[in-house]
Amino acid sequence: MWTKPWNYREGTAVTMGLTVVGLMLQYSVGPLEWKAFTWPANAIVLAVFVSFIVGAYALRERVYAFRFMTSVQAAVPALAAAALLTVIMGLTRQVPEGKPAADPFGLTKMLNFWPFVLIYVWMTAIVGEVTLRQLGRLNKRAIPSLVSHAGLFIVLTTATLGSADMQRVKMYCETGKPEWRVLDERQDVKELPLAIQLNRFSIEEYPPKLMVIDDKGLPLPVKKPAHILVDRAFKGAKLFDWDIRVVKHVDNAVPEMMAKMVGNMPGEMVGRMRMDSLGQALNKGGYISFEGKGAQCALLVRATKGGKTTEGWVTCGSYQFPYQGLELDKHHTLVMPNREPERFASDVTVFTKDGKSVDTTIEVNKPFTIARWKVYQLSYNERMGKWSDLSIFELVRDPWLPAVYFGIYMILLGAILMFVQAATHRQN
Amino acid sequence: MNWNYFIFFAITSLLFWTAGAWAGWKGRKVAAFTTTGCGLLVFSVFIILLWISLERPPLRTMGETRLWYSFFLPLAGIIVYSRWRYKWILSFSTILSAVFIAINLFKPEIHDKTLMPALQSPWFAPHVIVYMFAYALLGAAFVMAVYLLFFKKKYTEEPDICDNLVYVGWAFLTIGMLFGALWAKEAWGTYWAWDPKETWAAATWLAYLVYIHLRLNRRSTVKTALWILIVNFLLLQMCWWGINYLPSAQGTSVHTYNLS
Repeated sequence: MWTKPWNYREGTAVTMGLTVVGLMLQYSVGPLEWKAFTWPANAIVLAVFVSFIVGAYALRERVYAFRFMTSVQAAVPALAAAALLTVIMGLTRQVPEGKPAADPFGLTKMLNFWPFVLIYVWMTAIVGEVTLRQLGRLNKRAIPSLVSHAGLFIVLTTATLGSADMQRVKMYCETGKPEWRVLDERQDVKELPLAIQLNRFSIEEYPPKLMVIDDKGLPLPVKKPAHILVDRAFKGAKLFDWDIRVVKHVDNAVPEMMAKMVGNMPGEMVGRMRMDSLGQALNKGGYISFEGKGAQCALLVRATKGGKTTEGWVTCGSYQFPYQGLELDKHHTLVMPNREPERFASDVTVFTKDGKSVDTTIEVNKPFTIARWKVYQLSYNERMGKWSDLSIFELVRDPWLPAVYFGIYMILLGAILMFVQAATHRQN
Repeated sequence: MNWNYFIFFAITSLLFWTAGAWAGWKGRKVAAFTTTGCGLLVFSVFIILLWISLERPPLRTMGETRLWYSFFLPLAGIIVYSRWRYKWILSFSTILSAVFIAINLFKPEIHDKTLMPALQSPWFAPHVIVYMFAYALLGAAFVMAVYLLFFKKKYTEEPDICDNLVYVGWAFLTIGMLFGALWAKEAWGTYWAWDPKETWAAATWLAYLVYIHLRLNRRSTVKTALWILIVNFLLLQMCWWGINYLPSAQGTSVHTYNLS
């Protein structure tokens, strides 16, 4: 042991040493708090780390340990240890941020677990050292590897140290009211240099589905519920032994009894009323088309099994009236599960402090970027569904993102170069 | 087009691939290329028609990803064959593909058209397709490792084939993972959230790096490297579908819509 040249045994000893030191730190100072690395602490730590790596590179001829860092014998145990700790992280249920670990060692908060952090730091140091060595002796065949190492070094350092500077806040917007206040991760109110006015929130839904539930209300078959999709082209289908036909398809419907009551009510009142299940049971007139708030799809369905036919209305209901199913027999009911959104979007006007305003649409997967904030469609009033007049946005600001992206694109380039190299590299 | 027709396409493709495997075994290059190519063509027609009829890419359920896997295995097989002319590789890829086709035939899942808004993104198809191709290549490397460790036992240049499969497979694994990161930023606001699937993807990615770096040292024993390939492939399975059953991932992963 420790006779030169060092081998895997020494490389493994280093990772085990780091694990022991990590455990000692874990017990003495407690888990690592990433929040401590807010600007400028993260920049200072990064500068110190990079100087250490450059210094180690400069002293590599004199200090064997620094030379060893760029060897496979150091890299393999470091990678294996990092992989192992990551597997442990995958096997243990991780506790969300802001809560203490659920186990005595801290494995359920792996990102704050010192041995995990130290092993990743060691791995990152090796990656940095190798990058410098490959830069020092430029060689065409090593370019894919150099690009990958450099990119990985940038991503590992900037993503971890930069995470403390990332801000994630939530903004609740009601139709027509400009909003500039947000709730941060600790639910504290903050004011932003920009305001968002929700002009219209909309949901497009997938066509309604029909499924059969048993008397306990469980969809059948229990393990993999079967359903039929009632789109505009729907002619009829078999669900278990029932032949299902749709006699009438009303996209926006309310119970007839409710429509009658609503007739001469003020609009504000209609928005607040709710028909209960008793009202629903008394509703003999079925459903009629209604182009207003609270409407939902209703289907008049005919189900036939062995010559016996039952007919009735089926709807998933809305926030203004309860669902209605069609009893097929004593133990089976045909129901419409809640509609699944295909797309939800907010038409908004965004105002900035310098007096500019922009009209845009924000939807899932299509965030909007303004004044270094990215605005994401997060949620809405789920009880009201497509009639929601509330839209919830998440606003994210990550000043380190350009650096992280630069690293990500470098790793991507490295992977592509590696693929090209492997594809053109023939045996001998 | 729906899954009811899958059996016809699958059997036609499998017949072509079997013929290709036989031709490969006999050293008939042209026949091996043509028949395997025809099989891939028939199979891709099914995928395309299914894509059109679903009105979304068939990449969401486990059954749909298995479909891509059964397609990419013979593709990876023919690529390896074109380079090294290993007469057994097409038989292996055909058998593996047949296993995945059989799972899809005997364990059909309910397939529906709906796709939640978070999955509707131009990143969706490249992210999953690149991953499936990586899985197929790394699966081929695993098969090779098993073959060398337990059947052939004496080997000279074969470990280099493993290296090449892993290099290309790892490159695709990297691209798939980073596409996922870039997409996640657009969909959820962070490029990496240590979601259980991401954690396992990172572990798998690091584990293949262990293999790649170990093989850089020519004095290391090949046997250790081949065993690492076997362990890594198990990690890959965990990442692909294992986490759907893993207690630690239940209810916390945004990636568990595969089963619904």
